[in-house]
Amino acid sequence: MYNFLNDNSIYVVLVVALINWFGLFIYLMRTESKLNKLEKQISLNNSSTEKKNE
Amino acid sequence: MVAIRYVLMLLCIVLPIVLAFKHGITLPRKKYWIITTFILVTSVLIFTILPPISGNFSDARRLSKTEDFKDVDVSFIVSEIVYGENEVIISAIPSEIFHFSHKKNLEKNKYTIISPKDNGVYSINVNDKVVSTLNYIKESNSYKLKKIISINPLLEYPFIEALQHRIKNLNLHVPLHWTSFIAYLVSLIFSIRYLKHNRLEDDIVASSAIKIGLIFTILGTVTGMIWAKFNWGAYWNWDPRQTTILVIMLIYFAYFGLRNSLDSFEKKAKLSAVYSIISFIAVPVLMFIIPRLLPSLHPGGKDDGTTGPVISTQADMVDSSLAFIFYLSIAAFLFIYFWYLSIEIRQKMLENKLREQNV
Repeated sequence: MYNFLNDNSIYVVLVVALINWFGLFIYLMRTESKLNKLEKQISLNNSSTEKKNE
Repeated sequence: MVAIRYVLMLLCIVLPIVLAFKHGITLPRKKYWIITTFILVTSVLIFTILPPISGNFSDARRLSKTEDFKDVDVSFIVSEIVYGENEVIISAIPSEIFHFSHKKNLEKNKYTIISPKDNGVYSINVNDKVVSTLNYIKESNSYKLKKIISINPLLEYPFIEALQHRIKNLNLHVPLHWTSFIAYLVSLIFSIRYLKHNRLEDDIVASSAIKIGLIFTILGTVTGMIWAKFNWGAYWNWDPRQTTILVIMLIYFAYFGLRNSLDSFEKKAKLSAVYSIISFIAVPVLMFIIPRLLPSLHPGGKDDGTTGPVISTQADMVDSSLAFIFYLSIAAFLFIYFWYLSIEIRQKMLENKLREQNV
């Protein structure tokens, strides 16, 4: 693997670009799950206030 | 002509920042922001991966003599083609590479290139700019064409023997650290604003700026490590720049340690604002000054003769076509940064609102 990457240096550039993409993607995934939690909480709050109003 | 380069550089750094502040950092991004980010990132990736690496005839001549390395991609302009019975003879002049700074005095010597018939030489016309793999043949003082890489390429990157295609990593590694510097600067500005006006909103912006900035610092370090493995032989070399970036990372990890150790929101915001202001004093010193004072593996160390990859007084330190995409890449990463920042801030604000409702 090391020899292959050493001989074909363009693939090192590909690896670097992919690392950047994965890093940014992991952040997006984490934000997605956090937002899901927040949405659940908001809907819970809303339903509880509705019950109180009834 | 050097001025154009610096104007372009400043434009690519300042424009995203100005646009972000003008539009409001905490607000959702507008459509033009998302479209610009998409176009910039796509074009940077395409123009980083696709352009060929091209050297000149003397590179090919020099390296054909060595035993372990024989292929060099050479860029030339075809001036005449003669079709023989068994082979095609091309006479070529070295191509002029566009430089912002000065015109190189190219020797207008004609070079003879001999090519076998079966490697696609028929697609070449007179006056085409061709990048192809050449081998020097000592006996006939001519070059043998092994493989055509590209005909009339839009961009060419310079050939450096030790780097080869890895030179393209410049566009994907260095802008991350520039972006993280801007991130810490944003945090400094909003920390000062928090201490002035005492608004929780500013504290949220300051802490989110550091969080996204840390993502960029970590990515920059990891990509640098991969590059170092292939150029310097080890993932981590305790090079001055690597050491100082580690110190910066530790400083800002400690920022979150400090924040999470406090319960009261007022106290948390106030202490972390002060910590952010104090720690930013170290960032320019660690990023720009110390790496230049010590001998370094990175360009721009002591006795290197250049001021390094960050701010160069020498116009042709970075090749023009490489520099152009490099500046675009900085703009692309800054656009991504401010987008992520607004997402993070809005999420934190929602959390804050919910907490206030529940209390």
